[in-house]
Amino acid sequence: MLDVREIRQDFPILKQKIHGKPLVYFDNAATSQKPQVVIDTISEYYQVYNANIHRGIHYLAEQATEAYENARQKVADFINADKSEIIFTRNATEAINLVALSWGRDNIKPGDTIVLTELEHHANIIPWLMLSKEIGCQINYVRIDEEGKLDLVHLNELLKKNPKLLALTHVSNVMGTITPLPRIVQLAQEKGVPVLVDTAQAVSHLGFNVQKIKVDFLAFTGHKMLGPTGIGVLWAKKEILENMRPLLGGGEMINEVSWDEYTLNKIPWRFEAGTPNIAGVVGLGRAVDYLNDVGLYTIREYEKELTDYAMQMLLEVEGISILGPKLAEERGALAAFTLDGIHPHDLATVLDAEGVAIRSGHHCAMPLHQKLGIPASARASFCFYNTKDEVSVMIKGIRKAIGILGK
Amino acid sequence: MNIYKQQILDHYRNPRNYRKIADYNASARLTNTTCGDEIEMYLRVKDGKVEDIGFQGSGCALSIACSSMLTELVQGLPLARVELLGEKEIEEMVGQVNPGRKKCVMLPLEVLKAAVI
Repeated sequence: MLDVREIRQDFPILKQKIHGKPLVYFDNAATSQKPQVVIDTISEYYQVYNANIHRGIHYLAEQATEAYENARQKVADFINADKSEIIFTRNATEAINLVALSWGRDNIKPGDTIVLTELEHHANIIPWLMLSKEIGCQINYVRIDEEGKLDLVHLNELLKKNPKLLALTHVSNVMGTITPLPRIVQLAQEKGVPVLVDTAQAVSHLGFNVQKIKVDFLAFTGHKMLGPTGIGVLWAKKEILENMRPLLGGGEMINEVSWDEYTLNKIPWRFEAGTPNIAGVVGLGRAVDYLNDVGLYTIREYEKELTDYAMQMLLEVEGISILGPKLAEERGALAAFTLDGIHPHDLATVLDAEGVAIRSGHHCAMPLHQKLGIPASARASFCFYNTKDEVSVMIKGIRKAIGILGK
Repeated sequence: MNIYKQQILDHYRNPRNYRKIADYNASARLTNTTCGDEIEMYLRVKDGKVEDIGFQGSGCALSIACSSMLTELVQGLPLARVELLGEKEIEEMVGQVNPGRKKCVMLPLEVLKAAVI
């Protein structure tokens, strides 16, 4: 059981008031809040052992290097991977771009196809669109049904065309859909198609085990999983990374350098040119510890119940339609919705005045909103520090918005 | 909190000049892709003046109310004056808005300027 009152004590930002009202933070799919221990870990690095890593042989440099590499181990353990397969990037977007610009450029040829899905965030569309413009490959999108679930028959048809890659999200940041990855990966593997999964929206809510769901690439970001901004992760199978060209050159990514030549460092350092975001990495490592302490099973159970409750409460409001699967079991911890006659931005502004932070807009998924035939939606996204009482505050705010803006 | 201002709500619920005017000789349509607001304005310009103006579109309360108020403001105004309208005048008209909503209130003026400049 999760003691949410105790959990909330760990997040200093939740104690503040916004416009004189207690903060209700329901924009966790955009970024999560950070526990005090993560904030402390970051300042401790700067206050106590700030030094560059992998270089100096002095005490602080050794401390910093150890902390950095320990954090890599923690992240690797979190997804059941080998430490050498964890590459630190700026965010999930950069992780996907790295795959597109390095692996993609070397393995995708003119006329080849890449399969994406209609659920994708811009971060998993644009890098591939850019690549397709550059080399002249095709992109196909797996269709979704009314409930925002992937059409697996369509996926299978697209896989038959021998695409060079299937890149898809783990949880849609708009529909909330959890994609059935075990089945999808099996279908792709039968056709020998490599799979990239964007788990930015899921890894801290549902977990990810790369030994169990045998994808080829996995991308996620620190700031959506209680960690700091500016730090993300690309995981890929060792044999893929060994054959992948680094995108950036500079310090750390090399072994030997002469005026005319260089040899590459081992993985993962080959992909981490220049001084990395050391504070971000140690902060992320601490965030992983925190998630493990609470427990992913406990987190999922709690967030599922909260999401289910929020959906029921939302549906009691006349004029609200929730996007995506009807069952909380089939969704991540978020609910995007529309409210008849009231623009999501207006709703968000009224809720803001009540201290409630939700997201409104297209959530970096414009093609999906076009398909749904709506310009924008409102989205409440949850974390395990949120409560049912907070959901009630939001519902009251929504009713207030209807009172003010309803025609 | 602007959205509560009675005047804005009134213009949102009963937008003025919400029509495509007959024999317009200037028009423009712009969308605000981040929120999906879409505003189209039609003007009849005569002797360098806005003789008549109407608008149509869909969007949030702020963009609709602001369009409505703007059409009232520029009715009969010389184009030379329309050109000088800026953020300051919009703010005087609708009041201050959050930075995140600025685009909603600036869109109508952008449409108007696109139509006549």
